Amino acid sequence: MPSRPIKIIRNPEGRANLHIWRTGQSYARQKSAVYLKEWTNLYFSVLPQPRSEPVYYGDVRKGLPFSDGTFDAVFALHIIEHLTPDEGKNFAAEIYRVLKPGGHVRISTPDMENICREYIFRLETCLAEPSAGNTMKYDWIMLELLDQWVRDKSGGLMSETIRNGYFDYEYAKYRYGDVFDEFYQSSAESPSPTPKKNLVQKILSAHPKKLYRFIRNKISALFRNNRERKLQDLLLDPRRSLEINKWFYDRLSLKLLLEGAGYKDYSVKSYKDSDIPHWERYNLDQSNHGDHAIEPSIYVEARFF
Amino acid sequence: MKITKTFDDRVNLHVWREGEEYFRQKSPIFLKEWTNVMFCVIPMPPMEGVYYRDITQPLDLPDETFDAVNAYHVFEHMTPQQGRNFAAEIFRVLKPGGIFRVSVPDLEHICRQYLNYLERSLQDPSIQNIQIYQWTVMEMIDQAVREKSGGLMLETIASGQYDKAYIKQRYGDVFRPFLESLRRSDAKEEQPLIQKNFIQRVYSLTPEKLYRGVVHRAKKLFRRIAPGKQGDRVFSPRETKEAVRWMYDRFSLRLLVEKTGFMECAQKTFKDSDIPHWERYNLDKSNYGDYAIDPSVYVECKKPKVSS
Repeated sequence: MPSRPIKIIRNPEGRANLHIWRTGQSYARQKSAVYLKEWTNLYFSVLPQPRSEPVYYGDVRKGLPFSDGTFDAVFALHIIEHLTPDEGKNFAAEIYRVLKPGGHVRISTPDMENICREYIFRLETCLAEPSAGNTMKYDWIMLELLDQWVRDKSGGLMSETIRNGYFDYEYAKYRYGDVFDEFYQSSAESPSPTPKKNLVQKILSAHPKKLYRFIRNKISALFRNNRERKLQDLLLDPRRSLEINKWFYDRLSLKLLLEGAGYKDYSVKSYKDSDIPHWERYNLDQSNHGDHAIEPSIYVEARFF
Repeated sequence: MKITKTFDDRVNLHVWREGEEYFRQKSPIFLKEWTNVMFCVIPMPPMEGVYYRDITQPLDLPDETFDAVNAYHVFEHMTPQQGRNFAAEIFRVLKPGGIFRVSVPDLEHICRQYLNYLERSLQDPSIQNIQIYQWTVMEMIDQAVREKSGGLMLETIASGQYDKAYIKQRYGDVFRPFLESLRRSDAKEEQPLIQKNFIQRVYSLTPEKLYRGVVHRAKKLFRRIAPGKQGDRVFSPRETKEAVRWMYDRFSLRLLVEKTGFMECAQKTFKDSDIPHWERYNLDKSNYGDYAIDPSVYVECKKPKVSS
C-alpha cells in the first residue's frame, strides 16, 4: 500500500467515487478516458507497482488505503471472485468503512447462476442431440465453469482451446462480450511452437545482428539479478498472480455477503442501470460499441446508512 | 506388480485415491480379490496388497492383462489431458471385451442441486435452506480452489453450520469418520478442565510426562533451527492431488471413453454393473444400507473384442 495518502479525485458535482478493478485491456481502452478523469482509481495487484498517478496499485486483501467515510460511491469490477470467501467478507467490510453515510457500492462479478443454468441447458441439448456443434458449445461452457479455478498456466485451457480453434465464435462472443475479442487476440498472439532446430542449425541460420544481440542478452542476463525472473514466474503462475478465481457468486450469495457486512437496500442491476448519481455518464459496464455489456456479469448495488 | 486373482480366476484392477470410510468398508474384499493401485504421489508407508502409483504417468502393467477395471474417484483429480492419457492406459491394460467402470462426482447433479436450493432460498430464506444452499455452492467450488486440506468444507462441518440430514443424504458415508472424530473431540472438551498455575503443574508432573515434554520442546526447537525436513512438511492439496482438477457428468464421461476407443458406454447406478460377480464386491454401495458410499455418476464401457 502506498505510504503517502492517495489524492481523492472529485467529479464535477464534487462527489468522490472509488473505482477498483484488476485487469482487462478492452475495458481500459473503452473506459479509461472517463474513469481516469472523474474517479479515484485503485488497481488490484499483488505486485508492488510504481506509483503512477492517477492509478494506484494495491493489494485489496490488505485493506483499502483510505480513511473512514471518504467516498460517495465505490465500484468493484471483477475483484471479488479472485478472493477467498473470507477475504471477500473483509473486502466488503473495508468498502463499508470507506463509504460515507448514504454511499453506494456496486459490485460486478461473473454470475454463477447464469453459468450453471447455461451448463445444464447445454448438457441437455447434447444429450438430446450430440452433434459436433452442440458438443463444442458444451465444451466451452465447461471451460467457463471450471478452467479459472483449476488452471496451472496463465490463460489456462481456455487459451489453449482458442489457439486450437475449437470454439464457436458467435457463442463465445455471446458469453464473453467485448472481452472475448481481447482474449482471442492475446491467445492467438501467444507463441506457437516453432520448428526446433539444433544448435548448429541455429548458429548457421542466425543473422549476425541477431547472433550479436543473442550473445549480448545472454551475458547481460547473467549480470541482472534474478528479481526479474522471479517476477516473471509470479506472473506466469495464475495462483500467485491471482488470475485464478477463488470463488463464484450469484444474486443470493452477494446479498448474504453485503447484508452480512451491514449494507442496506440491496438490489440486482443490469449492466446499464445504477443508483450511483450520473452513472449514465460513466456507464462502466456497457460496451462503447453497442447496447451490450462489456463482459456479461451480475451487477449488484447496496447502500450504507 | 503382483497380479491378484478373484475367486473365479479373473483379473480385476482397482484404482482409487483415498477415502477413509471407503477403505474401512471395502478393503477386506478388494485387498483379497483385486489388484490395487492407489493414486498417490507423496511418500506413504507401504501397505500389503496396495501399489502406490502416480497414475498421471504410464502404468507399469503389461498390455491386455485385466478383465475389468474400476476407477473410483480418480479422474476428477487429474487435468483433462492427464485424464485422457489415463483412460488410454486403462484401454491398453484391459483384455479385449474387458469392462471399464468409472465413477466421479456428478457435476450435473451438483449443479442442479445448487440451482434448486438457490431458487428455494430466494423464495424462502430460512436458515435451513440457506445452509444447504451455501453447502451446494461450496460443493461446486471448494475442492477446486482449496489451499488447505479439507478446505472450507471441513471448516463448515467443524463449525456445525450445516444441515445434517442433507449431508447424510448427499454424501452417504463419506463424512462418517469426520463426524465421529468431531463427536469424540466434543466429548473431550466437555470434561471440566481444571486450570492449574505453573507451580501446581510442576508438582503434578510424573517423570514420564516431564520427559515427554522436554523431548517435545527440544524437537520443536530443532525443527525451527533446521526447517524443511521431510517429516513436518505440509503438502498443499495440489501436491497431494486432493484438489479437484476437472469435473465430469454423464455426457463428458461418455465423450472421454468413446474418444479413447471404448464401446457400449452406459450409465449405471451404484449397485448395478456388468462386471461379473459385482454383487460380491459391490464397491460403490454402503455396507450399512441400500445407498451409495459416495453418490456419484457411474459409467461403464467395454474394450471392443477385435481391435482394428
